[in-house]
Amino acid sequence: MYNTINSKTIYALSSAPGKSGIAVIRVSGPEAKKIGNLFNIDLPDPKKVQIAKLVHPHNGDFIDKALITFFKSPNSFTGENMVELSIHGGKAIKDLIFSILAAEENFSYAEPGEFTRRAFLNGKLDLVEVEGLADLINAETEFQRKQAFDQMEGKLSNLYTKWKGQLVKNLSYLEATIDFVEEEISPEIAGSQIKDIRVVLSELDAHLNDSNKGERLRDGFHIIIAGSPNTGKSSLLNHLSNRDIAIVSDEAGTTRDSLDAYLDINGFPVIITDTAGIRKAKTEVENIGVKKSQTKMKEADLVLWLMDSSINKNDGIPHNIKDKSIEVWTKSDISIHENKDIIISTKKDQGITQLIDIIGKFVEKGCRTEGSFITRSRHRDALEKTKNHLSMIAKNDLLDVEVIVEELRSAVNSLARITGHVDVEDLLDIIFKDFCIGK
Amino acid sequence: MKFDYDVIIIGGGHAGCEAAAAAARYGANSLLITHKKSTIGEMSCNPAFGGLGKSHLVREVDALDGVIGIASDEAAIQYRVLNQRKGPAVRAPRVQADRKIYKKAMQRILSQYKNLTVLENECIGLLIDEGACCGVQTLNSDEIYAKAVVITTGTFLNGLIHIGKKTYPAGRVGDKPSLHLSDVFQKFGFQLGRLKTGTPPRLDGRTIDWATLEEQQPDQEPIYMSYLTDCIQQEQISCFITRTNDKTHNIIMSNLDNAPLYSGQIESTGPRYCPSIEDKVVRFGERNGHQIFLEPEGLDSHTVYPNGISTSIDEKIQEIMVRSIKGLENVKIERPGYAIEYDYIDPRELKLTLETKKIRNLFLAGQINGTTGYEEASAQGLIAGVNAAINCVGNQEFILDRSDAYIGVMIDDLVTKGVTEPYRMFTSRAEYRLSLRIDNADQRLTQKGIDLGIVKKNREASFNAKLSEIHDAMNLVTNLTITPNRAKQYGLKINQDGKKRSVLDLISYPNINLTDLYPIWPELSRIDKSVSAQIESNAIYSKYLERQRLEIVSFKKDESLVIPVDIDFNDVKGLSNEARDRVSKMKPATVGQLSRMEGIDPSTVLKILSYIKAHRKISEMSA
Repeated sequence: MYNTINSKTIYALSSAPGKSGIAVIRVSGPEAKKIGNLFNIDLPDPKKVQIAKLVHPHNGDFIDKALITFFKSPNSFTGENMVELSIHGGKAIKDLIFSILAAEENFSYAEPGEFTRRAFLNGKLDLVEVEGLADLINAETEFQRKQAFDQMEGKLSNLYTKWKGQLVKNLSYLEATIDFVEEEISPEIAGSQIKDIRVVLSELDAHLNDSNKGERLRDGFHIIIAGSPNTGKSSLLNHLSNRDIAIVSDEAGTTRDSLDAYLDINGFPVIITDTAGIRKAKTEVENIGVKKSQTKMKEADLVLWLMDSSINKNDGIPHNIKDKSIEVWTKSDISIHENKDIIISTKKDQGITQLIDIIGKFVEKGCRTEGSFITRSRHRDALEKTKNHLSMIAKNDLLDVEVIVEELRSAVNSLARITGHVDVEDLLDIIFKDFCIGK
Repeated sequence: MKFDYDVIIIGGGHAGCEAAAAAARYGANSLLITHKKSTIGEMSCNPAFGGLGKSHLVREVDALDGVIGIASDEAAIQYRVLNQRKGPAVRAPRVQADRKIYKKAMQRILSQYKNLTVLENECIGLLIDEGACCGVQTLNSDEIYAKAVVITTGTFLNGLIHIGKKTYPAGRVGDKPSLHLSDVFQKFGFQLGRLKTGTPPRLDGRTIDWATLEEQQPDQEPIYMSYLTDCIQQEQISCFITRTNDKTHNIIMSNLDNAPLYSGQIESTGPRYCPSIEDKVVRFGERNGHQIFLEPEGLDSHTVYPNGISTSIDEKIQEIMVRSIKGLENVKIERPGYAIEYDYIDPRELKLTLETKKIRNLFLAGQINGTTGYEEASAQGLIAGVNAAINCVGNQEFILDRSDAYIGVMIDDLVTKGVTEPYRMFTSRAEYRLSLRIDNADQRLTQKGIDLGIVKKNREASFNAKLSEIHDAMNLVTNLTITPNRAKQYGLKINQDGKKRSVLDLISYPNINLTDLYPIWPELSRIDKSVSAQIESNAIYSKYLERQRLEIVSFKKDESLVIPVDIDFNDVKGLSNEARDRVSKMKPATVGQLSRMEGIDPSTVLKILSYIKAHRKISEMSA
């Protein structure tokens, strides 16, 4: 539960989560200087800042232009060698760098408070600074892990618990073939454990490659403006685009639908798209447009369902998107209705700020359901490590069982950073329950 | 105070023998007190040593010049290596030992220690002066004074034997229990618990139909228990295998009211890895029988130990049950199986040296600490004995940690987590299993033993000789190289990348052994077997050994943060009451141990850590 891995090099995002102009990634530990080789850059002299192009170690792609600072041990915050990368704050860039670091065997995503803890153990903090540290660690480590895990989307925590249960059982059975060799445990047992492990590995692989989860944050929260024709959809989109929350893309060559608006709401990237009005189609061409709108609504994270308050007609939100839609009444300046919850006028700029507030709440809720940004990076790191250990087992048929167990133990320990500690007693419980031991 | 001895050891079992020998090797004037001189070195249960985890302990004790390895080699009547087809970290030698030869060997070895005296008597009390143990009270009311006392009374504390509905107090069959010592521990407020263990009936081998049974022969190439042994010393014999059947199971199922384990007569916990045949049948009765190893107890003895049918069912039913088994149809039972319940001291009462926290200079080792097995007892005996002797002169205590040895894993588990069933060593308990192997126990520990002064000259010399052989062999295997092209001509499958490989590189491939390379380099065959085994193991596991080395570095860091013995946890601000209770009771020795305790969260560790750091700063300033 509590273990300094000072032989490990740790890394984490030190700047605020979410989208930001600049993000700072901190790396500390015995192999911090490896950042140089990894991204093909020259580290600057200690405490000097240098600009450098980060290059992908495998495909040689340009990642980002970054400011690099190197702090030589012991003259750093933690007392260890430290490298700080100031990069552009895009989610995709951060994710890419984290995935490169996660693939390094002796690199780990920092546990909460770990930089501070190392600083403390290396005598870099004075007592006053330490006072608050215990509470900090208390709030952030095992307790937080547990809370974060409990609050994790049910599907996800069930999945991780299932994998852990499966791997712990495989580990127990393999341990049984080592420690209880004279106990009539069928030799086929080892083979069937490897089969199970391969299944977990392929599920884990698919899970890590599943872009849906990270996509919302990486590519933005998708909002669709929909409703009957002539309810003011395009007016709303244009209005939002012209406010100071709109983002002007500086990325060259980005193809973009002319009907999209890119906004920054509460630090999260939001994409708003206009659609063709929904009504019974009169022509084939219009029918295609309506179908397209319906598909887009299904894929959207949030639908703003617009209705004209100047005419007495409630269109009603289509049933299948009800739980992710907000009713928005437009044209409040010429409204014949009163007491609508959300009512706006783009002409008079009425109710727009309130609407953005409401959208903001949805965005935050939508982006936070998977845990905060840092927590997710820790999870990804843990899952990547689990995957790497399992791959070692899957791709090598000649491994001795005790080496398979060694990799499997490491895999389980990595997964346990999300799901909780596994003890030898847990393994023995399974062994004695499932096998008749007792020569 | 005038002391009669430096160290007194109570009990002549496996823990007691090792403790006495270790204390004597350290130079302490030692006294071993036992009920009966003739039972010194008695194997009360199965006639075997070693196996998984256990042979690791034997090798480690042997590396520190202990006695169990040499004695078990002298008595070995069958050598077998378990996990022969698995990797070297989990291969384990096991020997069947002749009960009489073992006892004789142990008694002779102990008699060679000039500063060790053996006394036949019963210890009925401890002499305590100002919180320190300073001797023992014996039955004929003599008081014997000593600077330290080691208690190794096994299952004798309030021992109660069960056979069917019959119960009677005993230490083991034929021996009196120690009734007084339990009271002594209770009086001093020690946390006591009760455990159970059992043993099978002993059979008369002359009444077994051997011809019908499956034979298990000894290994052709034995692996010895001791580093000093270089040949087989006794005639080698076979064991035989039979199994229970439906008839056996039915007899047991219809007689559970005569089985103390199921009638409610026994309530204490037995070991899950060594269940009685009653347990096996009740829990796994649907199986096609349970195997039984018929193990001869000695060369000139007819007694056979049927390993696998430990039982405490009624004596008459034992006979009917055993006779339902193939090959045993006409067998004569020499002595019925039985279960024994006994008191143990919660090992969380102990420091890592096995000294009690409540009474200074008092050490406990073996089954009294809730363990089981000769090897587990012996390993604790060594640590307790040597530290008792160290205590007499006030030197630095001798502690092995989890990264040093299985001994360290076991003692840390015991004193940090306590026990819920008799504790037995398994290799899965050792997180650094690939580093802690039987082939390198001497490399890990013998130098420590030499530095401590408990390794005799002959072992020191043979250890140093092996060291220089390893050194030479390492030079050889790193300097001899070959191109992939030439290697191919010898039938070695390696990548044709033009890069030269050394012998060391080659043997790290899973499918290449050192012997495969003899045709290329005949000089390799001159490397001694024990040396090449070690080089091969290191090569096979090289990647993992490096990973474990890094883990061990950080582990040692937490272990080196010592918590001062005089710390008052009431002064540490912000601890929860539960955490304060736990640490005050347990008094963990290091931050590492603290963090492994049950119910201790990271914030508790940190609060204590910062309290210690603050104090050290203050004392530095005042100094």
